Amino acid sequence: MSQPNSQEATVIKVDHVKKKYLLYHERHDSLKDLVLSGGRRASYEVLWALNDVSYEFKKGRTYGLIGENGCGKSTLLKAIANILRPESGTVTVNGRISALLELGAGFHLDLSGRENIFLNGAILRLPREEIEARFDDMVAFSELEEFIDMPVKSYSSGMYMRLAFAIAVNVDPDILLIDEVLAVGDVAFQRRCFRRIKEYQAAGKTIIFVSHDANAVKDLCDEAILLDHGKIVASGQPMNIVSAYFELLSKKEAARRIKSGEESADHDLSAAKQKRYGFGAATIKEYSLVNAAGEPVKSIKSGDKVQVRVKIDFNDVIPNPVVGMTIHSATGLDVYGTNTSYNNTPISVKRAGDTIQAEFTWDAWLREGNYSISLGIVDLTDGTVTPADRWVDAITFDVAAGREMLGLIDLRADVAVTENG
Amino acid sequence: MSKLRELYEYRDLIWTLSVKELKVQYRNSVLGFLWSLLNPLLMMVIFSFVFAYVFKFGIKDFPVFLLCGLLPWNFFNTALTTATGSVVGNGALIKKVYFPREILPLASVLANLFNFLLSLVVLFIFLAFYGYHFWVWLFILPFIIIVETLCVTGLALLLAGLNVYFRDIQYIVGVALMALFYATPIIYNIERVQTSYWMTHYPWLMTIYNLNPMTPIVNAYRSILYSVQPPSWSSILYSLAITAFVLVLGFVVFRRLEPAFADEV
Ligand SMILES: Nc1ncnc2c1ncn2[C@@H]1O[C@H](COP(=O)(O)OP(=O)(O)OP(=O)(O)O)[C@@H](O)[C@H]1O
Ligand SMILES: [Mg+2]
Repeated sequence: MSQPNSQEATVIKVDHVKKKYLLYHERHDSLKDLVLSGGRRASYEVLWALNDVSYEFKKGRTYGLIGENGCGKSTLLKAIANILRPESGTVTVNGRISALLELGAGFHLDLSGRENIFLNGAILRLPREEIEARFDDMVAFSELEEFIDMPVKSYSSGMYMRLAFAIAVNVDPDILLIDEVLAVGDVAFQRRCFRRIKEYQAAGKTIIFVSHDANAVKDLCDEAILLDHGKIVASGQPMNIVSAYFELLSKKEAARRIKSGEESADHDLSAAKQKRYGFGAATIKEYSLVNAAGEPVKSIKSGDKVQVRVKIDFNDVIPNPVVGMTIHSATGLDVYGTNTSYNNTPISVKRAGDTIQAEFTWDAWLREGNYSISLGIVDLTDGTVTPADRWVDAITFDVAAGREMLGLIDLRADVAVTENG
Repeated sequence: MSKLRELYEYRDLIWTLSVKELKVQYRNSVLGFLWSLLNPLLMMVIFSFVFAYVFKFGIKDFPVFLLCGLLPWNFFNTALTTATGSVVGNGALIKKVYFPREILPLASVLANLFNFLLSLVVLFIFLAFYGYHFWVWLFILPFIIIVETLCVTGLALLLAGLNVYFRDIQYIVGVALMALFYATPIIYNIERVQTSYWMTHYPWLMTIYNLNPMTPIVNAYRSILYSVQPPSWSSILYSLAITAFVLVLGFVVFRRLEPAFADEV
């Protein structure tokens, strides 16, 4: 993944785009209705599917669009793909777009897979020879060899999507738009799609994709954009934006509950408490990441021995306290996590006024990069976890470059080679 | 003008969609594209039976006379019928990908033009069989075909665009085309109308009758092929004027309506 770089060329510029829909209470689209209503159109409400959206998409970066159902994600992609014309504002695009919008590409159901490949090639203005040259790759990628001459109306939704994806990624676009279509494919195909997306990233293409899968967004994107009611409410580091999204959701959920009287206002998981939550029977008072000499550190080298120290005050009885920590990568992946229960270090019953300090000592055989650590004290009685105090991303630290490797954790493999002759 | 350039850039797509239309049209029929030839021939048999033998119209070589008007009319008729539904019928494409939407009605027109040209070949064989010297003025025919095609294109754009907002258009078009069939000198000779009681006593009726853009076009085909005479230049000028008007109107209206197509189909 590339680092943010403001010098990168802008490939898509969305400038104060507004798109509205009129929601008619009762539609008049036949002449009869129009005549009977005396030429007036029916009463309607205005819905701003995009309300003054501005954003600059840079070359070679991958963007994730997230937000609730109906917040305008698909509408934004359609505006970028020039399928919708906004009421005001402009969209400027540099480069050829290939779009996979909801429910696959523009296929003609009566035509075969083969004919649809040529139709889509023509829509993207690829010369015929070029489509012919890529044809085999497309079919191979979709694994639809036996079905390629059957009309696409006889395809299953997964097969339809496979063909759509195979075309979209094999026409060599500069910009790829993907709207939650990957979910339909089977696991093997999804994996292939993700691998292809990674190749695209490596090749410096710009990708914008909509997904409800927070892990995919954290894993694939350089930048995430959170939409709410047609507005961009946050954008930036995928991890932060995904947690902002979850905050937004729980805020709305809480508001909904209060409205329906299920819960009183003082009980809700409000936004401020989202990064830190729990029932308060214990409080994380102090925490730190220290090196072998016991000095607090922010930056370490791969392989350094470090220690996470957590000081906890108890405010109430906790029959079976468990303290834990989890290390996350910058993309939000859980790299490693453990707790006093997994580690067979039981803690006896604690009561109000008690204090404990837990220490997790480990060798940081991590790949270079930014990491964060979440901490928590929970009660584990009868196998149910009740969080007393959980602090998401409490500690952040970075690891300096070690040996070259792939992945996140250095398993320090020994490599031996035997050469004959 | 920039629209025309864009359409030119998408010429492969226009071609692919026209071929698609032809393929889909004949996909599940045994005789396939032969139907585009058989259909007018069967119509000719029926009309000849009714008008030449039952009503005794007394027109020389009625089947030839009829085909010279019927084939251009069929082109007009089928192109407008399919083009009217072309935008609505391709909603799946419109919602998913960008391309100039004008291409959809254009492809319908082109597919039907292809059928028409094919049926003209059959007509020539027919004319030769009856001993007509149809080649004498044949060099004017391409010009007439182009005028008709442009006129059809203008109307196709207009109707296809309006049909997105008012789906009734496609039904109205069906009825209107049927009425227009009788208002065009296809099964009868235009002189019969010009000399009829009503038309001679109420000249404004004749003016309305003459508004029909297909009248001068059908007459031109007929004078070239059947009467073996040059067409009337004044009526050709008139149909050129109408065609220009219809074409501009079609493009302008389509352009005004097009931005919201993706929301409405
Ligand atoms: N053709 C249409 N006519 C009227 N309203 C529409 C139309 N298309 C979208 N909308 C409205 O615009 C809003 C945004 O829709 P959009 O499809 O962009 O949502 P989304 O963020 O993609 O949602 P999802 O997560 O469900 O895919 C929605 O409230 C929807 O009701
Ligand atoms: Mg959507």
